Amino acid sequence: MTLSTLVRRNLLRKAGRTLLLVIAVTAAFLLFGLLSAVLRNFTASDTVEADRRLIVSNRVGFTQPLPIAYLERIRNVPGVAAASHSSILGGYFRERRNLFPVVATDPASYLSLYPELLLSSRERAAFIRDRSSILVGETLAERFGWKAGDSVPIRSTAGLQGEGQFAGTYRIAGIFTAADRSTGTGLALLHYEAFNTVREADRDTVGSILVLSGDPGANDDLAARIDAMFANSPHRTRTVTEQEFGRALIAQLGNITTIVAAVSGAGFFAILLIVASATATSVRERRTELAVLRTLGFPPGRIARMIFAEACAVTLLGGAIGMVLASAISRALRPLQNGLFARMEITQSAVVIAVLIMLAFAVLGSLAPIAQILRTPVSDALARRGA
Amino acid sequence: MTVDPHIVLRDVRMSYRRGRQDVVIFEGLRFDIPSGSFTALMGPSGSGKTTLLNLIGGLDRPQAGTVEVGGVAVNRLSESALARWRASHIGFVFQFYNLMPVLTAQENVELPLLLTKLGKAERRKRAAAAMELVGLSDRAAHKPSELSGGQQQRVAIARAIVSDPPIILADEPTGDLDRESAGEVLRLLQLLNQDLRKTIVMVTHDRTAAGCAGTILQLEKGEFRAAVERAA
Repeated sequence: MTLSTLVRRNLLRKAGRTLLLVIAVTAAFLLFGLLSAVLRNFTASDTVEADRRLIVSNRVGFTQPLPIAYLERIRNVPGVAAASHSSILGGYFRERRNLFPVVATDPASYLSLYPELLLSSRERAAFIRDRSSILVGETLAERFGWKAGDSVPIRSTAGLQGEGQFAGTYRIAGIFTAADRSTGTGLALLHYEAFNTVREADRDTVGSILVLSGDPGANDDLAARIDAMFANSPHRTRTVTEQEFGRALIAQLGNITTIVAAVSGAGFFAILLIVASATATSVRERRTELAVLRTLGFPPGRIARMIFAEACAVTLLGGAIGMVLASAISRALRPLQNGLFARMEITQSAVVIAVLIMLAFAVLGSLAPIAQILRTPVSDALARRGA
Repeated sequence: MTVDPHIVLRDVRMSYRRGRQDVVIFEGLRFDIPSGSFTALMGPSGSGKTTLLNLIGGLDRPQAGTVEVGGVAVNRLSESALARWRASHIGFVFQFYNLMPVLTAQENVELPLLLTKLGKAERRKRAAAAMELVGLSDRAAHKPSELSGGQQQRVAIARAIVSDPPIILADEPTGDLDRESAGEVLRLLQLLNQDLRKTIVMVTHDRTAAGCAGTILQLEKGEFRAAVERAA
C-alpha cells in the first residue's frame, strides 16, 4: 500500500460524486478545447510560405473590391517576390444547399504562391491552359464524386466579394490535395478571366491581392510601403499578413478571442466553485480521519499534498477527457462545411494552457479545505467524532 | 539511541474559552509517569483526562508549563517536528477505533509505516507481524466495516504498535466494547506493557479496565486526588 492507494480509495469512496465532478470538469475543458480549436482554425498558418504571404484588401472592408490594376503596381514594389490575386465567390452544384467556395484567380501566379496545394504538373498545365476549366480540391471532389476530366455544371451565388455571374459547365482539369491538414481542399479554383468577362458589376476588380514577401522579417515595412502607395487613391488598401487577415476576418464577426476567454472563463469559474465545494465537502466528511493521520505522525504538508492529489486527480482526469473529446470533435469537423473548419486542431500551447488551468483548479479548489483542516486542532477534530 | 519515555509534566496550565469565561482545566499541574509503567487515568467527565492524554501526545499545547517525554519538551517542537516525533514515539488507541474505512485491516496497520523509509515488502511484513500479534492474521484483508468492535480495536492497537513506539496512549479503549471484547483488548494492552515494556497511559471510566493498570490516578477538577499503586 502507498499513500496513492489511500487517495484512490478516497476518490472511489463516493464514486457517484467523483464521477459527476469529473463530468463537470470534462464539460468545461471540452468547451475550452473546442473554442481554442475554432480560434486556431481561423488564425493558423502552418506553411513556411504563410509567414511570407501578405494580403492586400480594401481598407473599407475585405468585402469591397480593389482594381486589378493595383496588381502590377504592387509587383513593382521592392521586397515583393511574387503577387497574385483572388476573388472569393459562391458556387453550388445542382441545388443551392450544395454550396462551396470558388476562388477566381490567375492560375499560374496563384499556384506558385500556394505550393501547399499539390497536383501533378500535367493537371497544373491543363488548368492554366484551359480558361473554361476549373481545379477542384480533394474534399470537394469527394463530396460530389467528381474526378478529373468530368464536366460539371456550376451555378453561382453571391460570393464574399459581390455577385458572381459565372454559371456554366466547367471541365475539371485536375484535383488538388493539400500538403498539410490545415489547408482546406473544399473549394474550386476558377480562371479570373473567365469570370471577369461575364460578370455584371465591378468588372476588372479583385477581392484581394496576394503578395509573397521576399523577407518575412520585413513584412511590416513592406505592408506599410504598399499601403502608402495607395494612400491617396479612391481604393485605399490595408495590407496584413495571412494570419492577421484570418484574425481580422473573425474580428468582423466578433472578437473571437474575447468570446473564447469569456465563455471559457465563465465555465471555468463555475467549475472551480464546484471543485472547491466538492473538495471541501469531502474533507469535512473525513475531518476525523485526517485528524487520525496527524496523530499517526503525518505532517501537515503531507496531508495537504494528499488533499491536493485528490483534487488534482479529478481535474486532470476530467480535463484530459475533455481535451481528448475536443480534439476528436475538431478532427471530425475538419472535412465538413466545405473545409471551413479544416484547420481546427488542439495545439500544443492550448494543451499546456489547459494543463496549467487544471493544476490551478486543483490548487485553488483544495486551498480552502486544506487551510481549514490544518487550522482545526487535532484534539477538536477527534472530539467531534466522539461527541 | 535509547529513548527514555519518562513523562514529566511541570506547572502545566490549560484552559478554554466558553463565551467570555476562561474555564481552567489545569493550573500548575505536576506529575510524572515512569518508563515502562501502565497508568490508568480515571475521573468524572470534564476532569481533563483526555486533555492530559492530548498534552502528552503533543496534540494540544499547554498555555504554560512544560510537557517532557524522554527528555524532549514536546510543547516546544514545531508542527512538523512534532509530527515526526509522534510518528516514532507515540501510538494512539481511540474509543471509536478511528480506522480508515477505505483500507483493509492490514493496510490500516501499515499506514504509520508510510512515514518510514521502509520498502513496500518490509512494510507489509511488519504490518502482518503486528496483525499476528493481535491475533487477527485471518482478518487482514477485511475492511473495518466487516469486523466486530473488538476486532477493530485490536487492529487499532496493531496500528499503534507497528512502528514500535515506546508509549501507547489509549483513550477509553474499551468504552465502546462488550465485556468479552473489552477483556481481550485489556489483555493485549497488558501484554504490550509486560512483554514489550511499552509505557501505557489509559483513560477509562471503567474500574475493571483500570484494574489492569499498575497505577490508577484519579483526576478531579484538574488535580490528582488519589493514586493507587498495584503490585505488578
